Amino acid sequence: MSATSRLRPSLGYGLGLRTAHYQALLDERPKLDWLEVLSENYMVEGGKPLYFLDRIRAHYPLVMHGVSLSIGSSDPLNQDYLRQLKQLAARIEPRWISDHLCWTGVQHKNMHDLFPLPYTEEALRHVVARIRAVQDFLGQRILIENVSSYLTYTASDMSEWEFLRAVSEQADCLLLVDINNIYVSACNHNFDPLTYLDALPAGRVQQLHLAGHSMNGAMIIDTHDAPVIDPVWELYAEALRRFGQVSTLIERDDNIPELPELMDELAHARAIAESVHAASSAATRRLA
Amino acid sequence: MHKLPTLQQLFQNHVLRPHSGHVIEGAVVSDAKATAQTRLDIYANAYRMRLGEALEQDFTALHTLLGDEQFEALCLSYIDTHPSRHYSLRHLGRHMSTFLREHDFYARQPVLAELAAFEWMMVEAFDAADSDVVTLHDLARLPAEQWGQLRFSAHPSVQRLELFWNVPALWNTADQQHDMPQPQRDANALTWLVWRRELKTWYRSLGAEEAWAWHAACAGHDFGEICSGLCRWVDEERVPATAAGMLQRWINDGLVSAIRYPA
Ligand SMILES: [Fe+2]
Repeated sequence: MSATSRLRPSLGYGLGLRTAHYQALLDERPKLDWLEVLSENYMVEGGKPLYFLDRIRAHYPLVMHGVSLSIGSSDPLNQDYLRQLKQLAARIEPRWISDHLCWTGVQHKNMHDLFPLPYTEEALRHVVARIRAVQDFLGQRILIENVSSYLTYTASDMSEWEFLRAVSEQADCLLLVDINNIYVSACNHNFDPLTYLDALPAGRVQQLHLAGHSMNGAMIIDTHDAPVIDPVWELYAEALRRFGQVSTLIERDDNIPELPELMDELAHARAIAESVHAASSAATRRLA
Repeated sequence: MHKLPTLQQLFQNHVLRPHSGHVIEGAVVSDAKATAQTRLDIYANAYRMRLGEALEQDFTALHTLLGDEQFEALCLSYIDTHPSRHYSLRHLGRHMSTFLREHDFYARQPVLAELAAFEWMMVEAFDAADSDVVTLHDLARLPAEQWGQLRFSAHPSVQRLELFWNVPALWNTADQQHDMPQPQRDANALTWLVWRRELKTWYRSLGAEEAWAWHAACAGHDFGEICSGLCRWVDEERVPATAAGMLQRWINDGLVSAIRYPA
């Protein structure tokens, strides 16, 4: 069986679930294909977050997206965190669970950021073993997402895309490819984003992220506070040409607009995907 | 070259104490776009901003009372002493009240620690465990002869605190347009409850006798014992009515999640 055949079919076009939209989602039930929830926000005992999550789940497929797995940390895996994650998954039955290729702290401290890893054999072995342990514990494959980064380590002896590809193949995990993060990192580290896309194993790409960002001097900061920009849309089309129809999600964490505005952005993603798909079908017909 | 644990330790030290001269710059690439220092600073600055924002959300009134500049200074010194040790930022502020109470400088304004305690209780009540609540209808169905032996369980979100300062009044104006009243201290502390009912957070003060009765109920004393205790404040013939009135109010407020009596 090839890796491709084990991918879930695309869920379509979704949004990150944000508290500002709770009521509108329940009252208006906008035509959204699916929602992504931030796992840590629902690892609580009760109250509003779980109240809305339980109700929203009745109307939309959900996936769980975490920020605290810290898969690359040299601290031991946080067993308490993993138990909470598994418990939440049992409660809301997400289509899948994802987190980031990063580390968030050591010595039991959490910096609540997605720090980049050095791309070394040592880090690769470490991350692969931990993803395998997490997947065994959760009883399912997880998706690992590329992060935006602002620095590279002198210790790195491979590129981020080589590292990510090796991680996914050796750990047998799936990928959440953040198109905006590739764009941001390509600018900050001066590489060609297409080289990155070309290197990824298409059969493992189960989800895409799109988002906006902001400029800070010469560097681009991944702030999720603005609409997706044109170069990122172009890169999205390139990703679809390589990976086929993939569940696509727009992330917005700050300056959160009303749902219709985000739905317009999703419609744009859908239009791009349809034109890429039409072009590739036409090409296939010509070949036949 | 550093092993992964050392590299991460150095990186984290830099984020926590960017100016303490830890040797991390050599481990990070400098190029035409930006130096290692500039690149590292993005992470160090973002760390303070992110944690500061989390504290600002949880301590709105404290922020208003202190003003931007002082609140920012407080956040910096707080996260320096209490970096996050939890996988969720939700827990970041849990030591704020103690920090303010024990800190040489902030302890000189004791209203700050009380305000922080009150705001933190709001945070705790917000996502505390859910539970059913007892209704007056449930109470009416209890056998009358069992009343003396009734014991009560508080809703999991209920918290109690004693305040000398006019903290709820300060809190109440924090996110509104009107000016905050002056902090004022009373000679005696007042007992307050903070809890969540359905999805809303509530608070109210308790008179001395009700505060004692609630405390006794939470400590597992039965209704009969609570009635005897109330004799300290109320004439004996008025005790049953007073106690029953309190119980009804607790139930109406959604404070009681279970009533037990011997089978
Ligand atoms: Fe993302």
